[in-house]
Amino acid sequence: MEAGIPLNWVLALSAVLFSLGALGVLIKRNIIVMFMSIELMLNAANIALVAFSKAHNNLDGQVIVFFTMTLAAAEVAIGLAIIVALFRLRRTVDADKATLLRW
Amino acid sequence: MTLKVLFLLVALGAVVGAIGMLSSPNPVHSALFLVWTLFCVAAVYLLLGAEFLAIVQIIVYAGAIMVLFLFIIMLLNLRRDEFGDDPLPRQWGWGLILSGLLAVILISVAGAALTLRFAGDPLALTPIPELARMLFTKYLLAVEIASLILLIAMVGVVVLAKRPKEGV
Repeated sequence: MEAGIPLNWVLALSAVLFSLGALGVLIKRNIIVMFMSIELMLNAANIALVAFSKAHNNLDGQVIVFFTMTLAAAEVAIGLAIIVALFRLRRTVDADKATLLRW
Repeated sequence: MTLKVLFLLVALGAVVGAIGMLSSPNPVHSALFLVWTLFCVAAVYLLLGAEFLAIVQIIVYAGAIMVLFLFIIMLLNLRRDEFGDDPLPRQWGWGLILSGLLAVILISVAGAALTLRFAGDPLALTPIPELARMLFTKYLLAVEIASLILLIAMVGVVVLAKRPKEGV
């Protein structure tokens, strides 16, 4: 019996968080909250990466998490700018009311 | 043993925060619940001994990204009827079924990793100099590309968020 946290517990947490993020994208209609759910899914993937990095005693996984965070920052900036542009155009953040690919 | 209890508490906190994010009708509350979840994820990193990533998680995610979210929510200043959140019952049902299925699949995969064990001392901290050396040798090209992506994102945000000129 070892003292550490079992790896599959960490992976289960990652799986549950990812599924909750997917649930948010499926059931929410507010684009901002859908976007937050995507962030949650990215975080779930990061947890799995860190856990495997620790399990294999290999730092590559943590470097990849570092890059994921960088990309998440860029993604959030662009995504929120698109949401602001959409709101200026349509006065709504409801995904169901933004189905036309033109103005 | 205490480590396991601590992990269970933190994991419970993260899941409760995620559920709170999905169930609150107000996007500001959703954002604050997500901040809580991100803090719990940082705690998970700490428990796994990845202390550098835990700090970066708090600074970048909980600090910068979520503040950006809150900024935008307050900038748009939505009225209650503009939240756009009254999910159709059918949407709820299918969403729950599909994401439940996804959870079952992913957790069974996690269960399959039972034989894999943490190598070495699980609480050993990550050697940060080693991490930095890898970033600037093995992953040097990736660092350059990431910096380029951040630059492009910055320019893109300015272009996207600029008010269009009259008559264009």
